[in-house]
Amino acid sequence: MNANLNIDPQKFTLVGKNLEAAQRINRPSMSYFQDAMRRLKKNKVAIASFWVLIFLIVMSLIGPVISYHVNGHTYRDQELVNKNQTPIMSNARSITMTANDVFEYAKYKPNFRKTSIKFTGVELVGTGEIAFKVGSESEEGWQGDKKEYIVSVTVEEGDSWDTIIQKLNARAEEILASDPDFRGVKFEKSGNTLKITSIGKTWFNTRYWFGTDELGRDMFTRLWEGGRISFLIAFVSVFVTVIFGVIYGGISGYIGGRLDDILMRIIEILMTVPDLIYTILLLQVMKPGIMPIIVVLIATGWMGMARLVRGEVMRLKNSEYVIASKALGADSKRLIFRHLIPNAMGPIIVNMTMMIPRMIFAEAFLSFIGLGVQPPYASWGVLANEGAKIFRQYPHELLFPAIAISLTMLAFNLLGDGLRDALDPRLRK
Amino acid sequence: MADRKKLLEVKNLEVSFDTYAGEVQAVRDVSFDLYEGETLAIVGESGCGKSVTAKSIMRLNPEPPARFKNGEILFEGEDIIKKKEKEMRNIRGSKIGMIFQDPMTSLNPTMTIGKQIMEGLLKHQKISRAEAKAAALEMLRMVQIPNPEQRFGEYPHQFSGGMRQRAMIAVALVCKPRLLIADEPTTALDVTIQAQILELMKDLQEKTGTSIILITHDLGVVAQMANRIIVMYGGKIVEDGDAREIFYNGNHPYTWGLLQSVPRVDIDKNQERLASIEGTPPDLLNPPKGCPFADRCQYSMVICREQMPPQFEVAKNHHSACWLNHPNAPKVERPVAGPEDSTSDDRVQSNGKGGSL
Amino acid sequence: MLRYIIKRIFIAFLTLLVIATLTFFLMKLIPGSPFTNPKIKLEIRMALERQYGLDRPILEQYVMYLKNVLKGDFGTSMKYPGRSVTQMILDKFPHSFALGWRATVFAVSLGLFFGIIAALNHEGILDYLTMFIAIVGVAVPSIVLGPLLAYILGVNLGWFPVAVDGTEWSMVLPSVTLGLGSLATISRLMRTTTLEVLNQDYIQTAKAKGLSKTQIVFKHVIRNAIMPVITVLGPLFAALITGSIVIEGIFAVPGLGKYFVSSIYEQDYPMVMGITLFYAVLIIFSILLVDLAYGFIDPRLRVSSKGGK
Repeated sequence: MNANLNIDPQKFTLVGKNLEAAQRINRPSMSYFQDAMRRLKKNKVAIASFWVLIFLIVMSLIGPVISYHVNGHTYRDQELVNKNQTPIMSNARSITMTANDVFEYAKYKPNFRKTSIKFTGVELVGTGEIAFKVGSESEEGWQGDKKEYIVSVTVEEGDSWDTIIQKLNARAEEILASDPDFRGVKFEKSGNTLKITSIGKTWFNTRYWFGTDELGRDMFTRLWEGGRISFLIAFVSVFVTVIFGVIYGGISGYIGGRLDDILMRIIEILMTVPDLIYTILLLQVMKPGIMPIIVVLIATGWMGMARLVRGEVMRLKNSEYVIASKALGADSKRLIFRHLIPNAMGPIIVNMTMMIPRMIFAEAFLSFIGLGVQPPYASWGVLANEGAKIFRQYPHELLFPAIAISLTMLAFNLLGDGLRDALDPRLRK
Repeated sequence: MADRKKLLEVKNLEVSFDTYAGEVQAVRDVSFDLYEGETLAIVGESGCGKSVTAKSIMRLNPEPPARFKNGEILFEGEDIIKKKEKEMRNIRGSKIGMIFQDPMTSLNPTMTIGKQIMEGLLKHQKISRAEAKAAALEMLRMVQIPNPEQRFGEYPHQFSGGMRQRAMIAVALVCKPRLLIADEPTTALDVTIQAQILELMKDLQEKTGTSIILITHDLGVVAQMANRIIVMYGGKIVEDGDAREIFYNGNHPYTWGLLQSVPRVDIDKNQERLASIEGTPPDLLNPPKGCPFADRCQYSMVICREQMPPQFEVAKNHHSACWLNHPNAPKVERPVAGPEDSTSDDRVQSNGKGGSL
Repeated sequence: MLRYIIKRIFIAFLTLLVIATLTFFLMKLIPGSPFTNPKIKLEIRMALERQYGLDRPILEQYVMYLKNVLKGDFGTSMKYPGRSVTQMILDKFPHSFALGWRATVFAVSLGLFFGIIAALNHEGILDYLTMFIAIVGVAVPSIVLGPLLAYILGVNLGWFPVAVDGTEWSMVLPSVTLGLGSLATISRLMRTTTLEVLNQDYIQTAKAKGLSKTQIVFKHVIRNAIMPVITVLGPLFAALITGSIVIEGIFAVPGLGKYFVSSIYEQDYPMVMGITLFYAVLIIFSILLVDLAYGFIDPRLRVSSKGGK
């Protein structure tokens, strides 16, 4: 093997070990929680979810206060005249066809307030009257007045579509000239589609920021009041569930033996009964309301938590460092507080985070079938229920609570996933 | 010996892993040959690169993040590194077989042992199921599993640890590969079972002429089986030679450390201390530019940290990458007691260092 | 194995007993009898009560109740004295079932498929895509999704009818809406288990045998990854039943769920209790079936370890 013999003999002086260098751990040592927090922070999705939730919770707290001070709304004031308003208002009048001897069509497509309607696949079939009612007395909240107008023309033999359109527009002009409040309506045809649009101003609804519902109640206020109730129910339920679960599961796991067997058997049987059953039965006995819902959620949730806590305690009880601590003379209290609980916290926290969306969903579900929060109180489930009924005409009434519920559930789920990954000690690098 | 054919030639192999933290140089310029019918042991601590090297022969490291930076692996004359995945599939299981450390997790828990053995056969050979079953049963007999017909239809969890490893050997050898790579095959087993498995492997080798690469950190295992030994540290080969040479005339300080940490029955209990090598292996994200063992070596010199030592030829077929072999280096005594030493409290002066270049 | 089967069946029956008991006693807690209707004259009421055994001691009523339930008689409606609960269930359940099995097939087949694809494509585009769909199923409850899909796909685009009208096509929207939540759960779980399986040593062994990726997936991965997923199928079925209660309202399916809700509104207690009990039987039974199936599929349960040397 060729090695150069021309190496400075000095280099062969003995140096020996450099254990410091050999044992230097190249990564700074961190505590379990610090490491978990670091990993969590790297998870952008989880962090984003966290902020979204903070936003929703804060809004739930201050939203109703803001709207009270600015507009004087509460969640139960009704102003029927202003019912079903949208966040973006328009005072264009709605259009209804009142007479048609003249054409047939394939589809009728109105926008949700019928301020712009379309007929597709139109075909001339006869002569006679064509008439449209523009405006409606019942839509005073939108139009600002109770006026209604009729735009009517007569179609004769030999009239082409162009002529008809001309006549209709001309008639509309006439009406507009005589009464500016009319604001006008436009008729156009392109291809086989007849389109009729009424003219008006659009503006942001400054009085009702998110619009109103069927009874003229402010959606903004109701949404955030609903948030208060939904979050309240979810957090209180989770909190109490955790307490029950930790006590029951902790005792069962720590003492072990016969007691543990019995306690776990009881839970096993109770758990086989589907949540729905408990819910329906309990709610038949207690009249629906906020408190009963919380009771129901606790009743269906504590068992899972108890099982989890018991599992964790059992696992930790037999782990080496607990035995080591005992060997060093630690007493039960010290064991429980300094060792068992901090290490069990991980899965408990993750479980808590995942329980919340389930509870929000459960509340929404119950409210949807009428067993939840009762009117006039608002919860997101109640709002979703009310909005769903009238979705086709006024989608915003469902959209806002829907987005709120979905966003909350999504955020909690993603945050929970992130927490689970961050707190898993096996992933510790 | 010289007229035996070379089955495998590894030349200047460099394998790195691209991770989030950077490039981890797991294998840094490793070269060795393997002859037909011999057992080559690769020893070293965890993380020294032995597993990666072995898996590279079968291209079992996931690529990415594994990457062949340099080198060739010639198996039967053809470069493994240049082969396409499809070609590799024809080699795996049929020409080269591998068994892993933990037989419980290395076998599919929901598939019968018989099926798992047959799988390789059916994939690589055009035979009928009946023929495959017969071959599988024959294999079970060869690995000395009693009641093969019954065991054929059983599941891994019905086998004991030792039997599972036998089953694994059956799986790996059923297509009669020319090379068997055994990655820590006995580490997860009881000591008594270990001996049985090693016996079995030796036995099978004699019958079939398969070459074996045995990867382990346990020198006791090596002593039973290996013809030649390669010692790896920090991604590099620090010493290699015939088994007897290494045991009696180990040259590299790391090898001395390994030999010292094997408990021995024949040394006075009062003299013996359970020795371990202080320190931890180097970080392969930023490998040292000199000898990787320098910081843990009590004999290290200035030059050791500055330059990688070349492979010095210490004796025939025995190389050691240690600057102590340079003519300019001080003479150092080997601290390890060889079998010719009896219980005594003075250290025996062995032939010191200073081999030829 | 036999022990396992017997244990499962026993627990199922015990649970049903518990539920029936809970149902019975809770019903008794509600003040008044079904006949506390001021319109009914006192003597007639007492006669009716005697006829229905409501004047007997509670325990006797309990036993009678249990006997009736075993015979399949869940009582009669309170609001509509002519109707028997059992009859209503028999009438309406088939519609719910038509919806339910379609939703199940949808959720299970697509769920498994998405899960496997996502795991094989870990952190690739397909992974994010399928998981996104899954997340939507989790986060957007059926209450919201139903009307949303009905409006967008039904009214606006006109692709689907918004109410069930006997055609197969009209069943698509409600089945999908109902199944989406379960689809999400299954695909997320399948993805997790598949990823775990892919990291197992025996996959490396399979690779070392020279098997192709497809062969490995079909012969080794799927069988093992699917096991934990099977265990959630039972509770999943419960979720589907719960979900149908809402979906039937939205899509005008004349099923048991819709009737259940209206019974709740009308406070027709025997009907509510009877249907609840029926649902319970359904759920417990399907959980039992799934548990038994799992016992057959997992060889570790099927054959006990003998551990010979």
